[in-house]
Amino acid sequence: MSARWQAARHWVRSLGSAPWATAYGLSCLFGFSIALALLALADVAWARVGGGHSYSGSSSSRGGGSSGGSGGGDAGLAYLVIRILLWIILEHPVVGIPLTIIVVVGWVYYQRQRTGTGRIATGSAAVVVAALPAKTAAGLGSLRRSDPNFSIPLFMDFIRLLFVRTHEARGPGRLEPIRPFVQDNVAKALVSPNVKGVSDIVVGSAHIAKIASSAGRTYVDVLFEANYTEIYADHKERRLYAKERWRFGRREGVLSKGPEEIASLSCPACGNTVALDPNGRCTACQQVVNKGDFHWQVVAVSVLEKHPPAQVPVGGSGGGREHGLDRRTVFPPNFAVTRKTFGMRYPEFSWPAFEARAREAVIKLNAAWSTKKWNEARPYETDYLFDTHRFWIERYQRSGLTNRIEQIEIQKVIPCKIEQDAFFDAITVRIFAKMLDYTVRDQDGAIVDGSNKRPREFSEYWTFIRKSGFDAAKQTKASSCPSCAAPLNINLAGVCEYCSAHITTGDFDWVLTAIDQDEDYRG
Amino acid sequence: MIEDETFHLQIEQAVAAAEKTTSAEIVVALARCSGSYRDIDLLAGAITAGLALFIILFAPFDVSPFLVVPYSAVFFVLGVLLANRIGGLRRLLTTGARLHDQVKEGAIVAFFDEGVSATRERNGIIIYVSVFESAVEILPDLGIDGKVPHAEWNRLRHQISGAPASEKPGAILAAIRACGEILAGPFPPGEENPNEIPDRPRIRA
Repeated sequence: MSARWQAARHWVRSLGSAPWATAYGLSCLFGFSIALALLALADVAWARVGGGHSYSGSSSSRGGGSSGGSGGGDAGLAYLVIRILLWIILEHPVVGIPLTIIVVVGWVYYQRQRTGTGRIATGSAAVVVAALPAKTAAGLGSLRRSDPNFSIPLFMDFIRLLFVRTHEARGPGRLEPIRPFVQDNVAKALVSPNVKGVSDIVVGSAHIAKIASSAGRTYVDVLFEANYTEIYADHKERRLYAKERWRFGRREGVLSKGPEEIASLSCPACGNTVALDPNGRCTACQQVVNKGDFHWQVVAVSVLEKHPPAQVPVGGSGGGREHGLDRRTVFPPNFAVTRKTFGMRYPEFSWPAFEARAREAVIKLNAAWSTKKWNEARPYETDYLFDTHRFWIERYQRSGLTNRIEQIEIQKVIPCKIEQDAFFDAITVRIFAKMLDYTVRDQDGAIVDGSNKRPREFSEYWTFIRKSGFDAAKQTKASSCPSCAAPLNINLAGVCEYCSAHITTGDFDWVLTAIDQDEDYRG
Repeated sequence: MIEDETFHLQIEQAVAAAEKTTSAEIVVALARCSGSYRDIDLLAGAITAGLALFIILFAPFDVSPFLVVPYSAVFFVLGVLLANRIGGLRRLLTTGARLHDQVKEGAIVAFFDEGVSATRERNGIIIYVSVFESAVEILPDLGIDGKVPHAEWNRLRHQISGAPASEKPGAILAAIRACGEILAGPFPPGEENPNEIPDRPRIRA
């Protein structure tokens, strides 16, 4: 031992005073101290019967049945690895210390990946979350800790609205109303002297690409796909497809605003109409509101693609059973309990009534899609999803095609997830259905895709949301406005033509917020 | 705050006043700390031992190899004790996520320990304040959950958490009053309005 120790000491000193040697030595010792810490942590964790307080791992598990056994096996393996590493460190420090560092870094990375994935499953409303990579999901978890009011459906509605307003404002260069929400330099950079107006903006998709924090601020990167028409100085118009990456920033610890405040795009500090002085100070409340201290603000925009919209790709599909149909339905591990507590929270809630609403939504949405009368789908979808589908209908129209859905037969509706965030309750159901699904060319009626004889069998996960604390007395009757009881007649913004109540926010009934294919759905 | 009897009395009076406007039951729990954080103390010990080893290895003077392990052990214990005694050090080594989860767990345990779920209409609510983590959790029972969005409680939490240390007691009393106002709508007091849960704050170790 003594000789080995002296040799190790000598070896460290023999590395000389080169900076790399010092850095190497430091990192070796740091790794060793981490290994000791892990030993201590592992001891504490293994001592807890039932796996302690970490439920993120279990929620991501779908296999079930073997979690207890694998937990014990993992502990035994970890113990063995640590023993071997300690032995190598003592016997062959030159090999052992770097190896320990590699193992520790690998283990930490693995744990972070695992934790991130778990949080996707335990996160709240909206399937958009399910598609997030582990690192972004971890960022979302951190954001929710500092802002428990952060709601994905609300955020999506807000960024969609801001996207539309910003493009509308950049044409004529009237940037004043968006100043609290778009940094001055970013807004000015969007203005082009050649473009005099932007209209008919339809957001096709908005995906959260990254969530990160730095220097006391939180940033969310969003990828937008949209169609809009640019009107030029010579009065010519051009319909364009654009893919843009927007970065939203906000001071850490700010609490997200509620649905009404978010939709109004008013002063984020006092709620009055936006009127700022040159320093960004609201003339009503005297707060500086253009620094992202009260609300999300666009801090960077990059245009990734901009060109005339592409044609809808056709061909290659027919009827028959889709691949994901045979996959098992994905349930969270605690679904039975969640379902029971949901029933206790809302004693008036009825599963048959909800299922009827889901079936009605499937029928109405597909009918509206087939006939391209998309306004008929308006009561059933959130603003964001409605816009997304409108984007696709427009693409079909521009391609001279119609996607026809006929003979819809809904076979099963299986409730599989219930979630709650600060503002909404969300229920996801798996819908099994069969229908004729084919695309015809408008010009001559020729079928260019699908089959009008062989039905397509498929399943999809549909997520519906409703405002938390829902009052059953306000529930929509299919044919009348829940706010004023007039015959249901709502515009594209989801607002009743008679009383101007916004009825597609989940205040009055369940509205569809996301559709996931069975092969993509992760729970 | 935990030891201040006057503050406890103020809480009791505020809860009693708030409950006059509603049939819901408000419980306030004050905790010194929401977890043992033994693992964090051990982490501090490991870091201290690692630093000691570093100094021994690179120091210009010689240290007998037989003393390396005892020295490491001594510094390990020293690190554990320091973290155990100095709250700031322990907090420095604990991640925000861990502090948050620990307070949430503490609140859930207190919710059941203090019988908040034992009201007839399932309309109890607990305001749980944890001093070490400087965090607040507000947990409503199922009856309230279906009628008041969580955003309301998050707003109150944010108000208490965001208040400076000296203004925290005032913020807690204001939150109790606000709870009464929020709950008065969905849970009016009714004719009987019995006090199902005592109003005195619960002090948790």
